[in-house]
Amino acid sequence: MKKGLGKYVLIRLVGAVPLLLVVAVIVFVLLQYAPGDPAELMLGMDATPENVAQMRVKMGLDKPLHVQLLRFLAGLLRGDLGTSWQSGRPVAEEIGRTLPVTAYVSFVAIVISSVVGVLVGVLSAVRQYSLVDNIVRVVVLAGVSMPVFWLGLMLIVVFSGFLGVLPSSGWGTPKHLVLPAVTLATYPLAMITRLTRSSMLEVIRQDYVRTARAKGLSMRAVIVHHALQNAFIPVVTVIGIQFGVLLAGAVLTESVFAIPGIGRLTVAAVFARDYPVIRASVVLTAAIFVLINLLVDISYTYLDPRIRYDN
Amino acid sequence: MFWRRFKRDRNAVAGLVIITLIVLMAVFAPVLAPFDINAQDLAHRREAPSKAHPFGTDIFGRDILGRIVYGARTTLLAGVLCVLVGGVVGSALGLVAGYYEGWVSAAIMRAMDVLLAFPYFLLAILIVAVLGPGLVNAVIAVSVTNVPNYARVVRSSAMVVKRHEMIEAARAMGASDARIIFDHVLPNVLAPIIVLSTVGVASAVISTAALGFLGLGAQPPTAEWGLMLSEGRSYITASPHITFFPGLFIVLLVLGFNLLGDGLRDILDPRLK
Repeated sequence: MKKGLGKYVLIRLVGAVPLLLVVAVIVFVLLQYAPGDPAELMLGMDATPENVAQMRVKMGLDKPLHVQLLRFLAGLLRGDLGTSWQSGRPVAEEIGRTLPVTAYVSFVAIVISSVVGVLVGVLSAVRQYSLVDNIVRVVVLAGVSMPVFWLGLMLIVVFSGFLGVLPSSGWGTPKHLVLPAVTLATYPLAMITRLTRSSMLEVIRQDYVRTARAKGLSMRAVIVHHALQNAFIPVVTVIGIQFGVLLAGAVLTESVFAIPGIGRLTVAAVFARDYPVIRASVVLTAAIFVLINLLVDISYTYLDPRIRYDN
Repeated sequence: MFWRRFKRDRNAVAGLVIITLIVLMAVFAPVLAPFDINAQDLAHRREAPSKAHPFGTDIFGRDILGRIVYGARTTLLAGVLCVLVGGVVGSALGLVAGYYEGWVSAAIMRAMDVLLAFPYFLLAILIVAVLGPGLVNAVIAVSVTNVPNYARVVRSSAMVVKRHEMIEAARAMGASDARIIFDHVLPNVLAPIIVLSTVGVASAVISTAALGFLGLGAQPPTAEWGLMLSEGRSYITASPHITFFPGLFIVLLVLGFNLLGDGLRDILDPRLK
């Protein structure tokens, strides 16, 4: 490990705690302004006032607001996420069931898009203005302009409808993974390809690349040993950011393919007014988001020796 | 000078043409689709494209082309509104934060950090959860998520501009802070704002359509492209045209703004990526 990195990581981690607490407070306060009484909603139309009052006690809604908030924050700090109003099960259990699914699909998608994106981006940059480059640029543009939910549905039409080779929805077998992963990979793939290309184009024009070529190294060696490493720094940022976006934005893909991930859990909780689940999933996703950004910053130190954290 | 460079950029021109066509479609919707687009015709449900209905009919037998034409109004208006609201608020915050350093700037930027800690789309969902589903609330939600982007970019540009000698000169001549910000700083940070707004419409269109798709945005019977394509979901393999055509128009509109935005970036602000 690099000198000073441990301290830097520690400072960043400690700094993330108040940020996430503020996020938690905002989520809590915002939900208080949502119209309607969650207890009444939970019981339905023909609940008596007594039932509602009992339900409010059970849900902890009878306590003053600041007590509810402090309970929620104290619970978070202890790792207690509360109980889902809808299912009656611990929220931690619900998230433990759904988060791995989302993480798995997102991970597969980001691996696909990173590998393919970097390869295609480099190829496109090395052969700037060639036929391949032009095709790549058009495809990239289409990729960033396509709503992910529409793309998913169109893939279903082709691969489940016409060809009948892949399932349109559900979860469990490797076959179920293909369409969601491809759908999810498209946008980051386009972004990574685009950035690798532009970053590579910039690096190729640097003096050290010319020097390396001049001393007789092959183009391939120069790209692999000199250019790629430097072109990779901004690419890593985008991969990190996109992975965070995937985890949080997987809700649309999960909805299209009926995948039991955390995104669908959140949206279902929004419709059901299941506050404990909404709060926990938002705070947790924000925490993952912040953590991934930290990992990206740490990865810089390994890729770029100029970046140090010891002062 | 601007126009000459603009005309040479084929992508930007293509983007402008696409946007213009869709704007014309929205403006002349009553001429292009001179019938009630909400009129249900249950005898002709889910019909494939034909001469009478070039894009087919939806699950209630409504003409899809007509609804797409009118939907252009909803989608365009929503996308542009998100950028206007988010852009004006974010730029104002960025100007203030960039011009006054110290605790004002720190407070604004910490608030932006908090907003950015929320994953973008999740924040939009959360806001809609509080305000309730609907197109107006979806626009508010997407606007809020846009604010920090403008604040950050405008702040960093404003910090550069304010070190310029003309600002010192204006201050020496006794101009007030407000006057300096509006007359001298703002015009010099317009380029990044314009670039950001153009690409911003593209992402706002996708986000509002996505909220519509989840049932959190525009509500039936509004003709909004995201909602329209979600209405065909249950018949996705039997009648893909219900989903295909509204989505295709979202892609076109978003593509138009992305092309235009990329072109404007190259022309106006080569440093931005």
